[in-house]
Amino acid sequence: MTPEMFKYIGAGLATFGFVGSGIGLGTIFGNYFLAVSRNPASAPKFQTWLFVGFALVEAFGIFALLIALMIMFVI
Amino acid sequence: MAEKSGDGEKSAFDLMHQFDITPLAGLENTPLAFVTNSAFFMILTVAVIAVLMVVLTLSAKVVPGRGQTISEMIFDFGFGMVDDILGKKGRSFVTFLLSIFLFVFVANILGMMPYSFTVFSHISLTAFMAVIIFLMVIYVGVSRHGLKWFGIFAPAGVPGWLLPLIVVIEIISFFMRPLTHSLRLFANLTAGHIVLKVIGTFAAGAGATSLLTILGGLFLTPVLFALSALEYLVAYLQAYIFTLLAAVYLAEAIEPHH
Repeated sequence: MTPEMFKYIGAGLATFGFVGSGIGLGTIFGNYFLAVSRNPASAPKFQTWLFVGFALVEAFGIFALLIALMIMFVI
Repeated sequence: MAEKSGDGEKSAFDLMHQFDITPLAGLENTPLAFVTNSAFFMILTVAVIAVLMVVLTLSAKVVPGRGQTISEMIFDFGFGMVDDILGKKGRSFVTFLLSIFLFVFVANILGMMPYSFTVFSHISLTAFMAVIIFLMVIYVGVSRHGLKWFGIFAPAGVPGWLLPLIVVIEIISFFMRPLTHSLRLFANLTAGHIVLKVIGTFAAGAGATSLLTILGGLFLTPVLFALSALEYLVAYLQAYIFTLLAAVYLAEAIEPHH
């Protein structure tokens, strides 16, 4: 095992941050479809904030990606 | 990032090669060498938008024709989004936000063409745009509300003992905004194009080395079609989200609710 190998392992482990982001996105979109299927008229009202929530949750996955990229290319 | 993968490591497919910035072919040793493929595609994007809008509105009438309807749809989209988030007060930001949306969207669509260059797969450009928006938010907030605007860091209704913690968290999340704002666009486009490249290499370039690779290539070709469709969706969605977040940040500057 060389230090180079640990770098790859670390970068791979850092992508586990996407688990949380994935769960969050599932919750957001699942609840959106639940709400819209109960009250279809409310769809346009939720759509904007659906994407804002999507972006905010995705940000945490992006932090994990940032750490993976830093391990791979910067350190 | 892109240049590190090229040297040293020898891999079967050069995934990062598509993101290399090089002077255009034929311009390498001329004074025009600053026109890289990135710069060229940015100019092309602006030219496409300008020509499209001029052609569509060439014969503007009260009763719109086919072309004018398309251009009016684009403007309705911008006004609808701004009215939703900024309210009537934010009408002056429509041109700014619609320009951002059209630039990102058309650049992404042009980047999906084979042999083209995806401008927003470089964090330098996305970070530049995100920092401009970030500074603009601070400028708009301070110029409209004075130093009182910084009260957004202390939300109303927070118990006193929790306030120092909340203020610190709010300040950190405020300064994280340009980072996530730029990384989202960059990461989505880069990752999407790498996936396309991987699947495309398998589907088309697997070669007739064995029966397994031929079957795998045949199986992966429909997957490539589906992924391309997904990438077009991502191209639109990320442009929309980039603009939407800029609007949401501006909404806080125009009307801080604390």
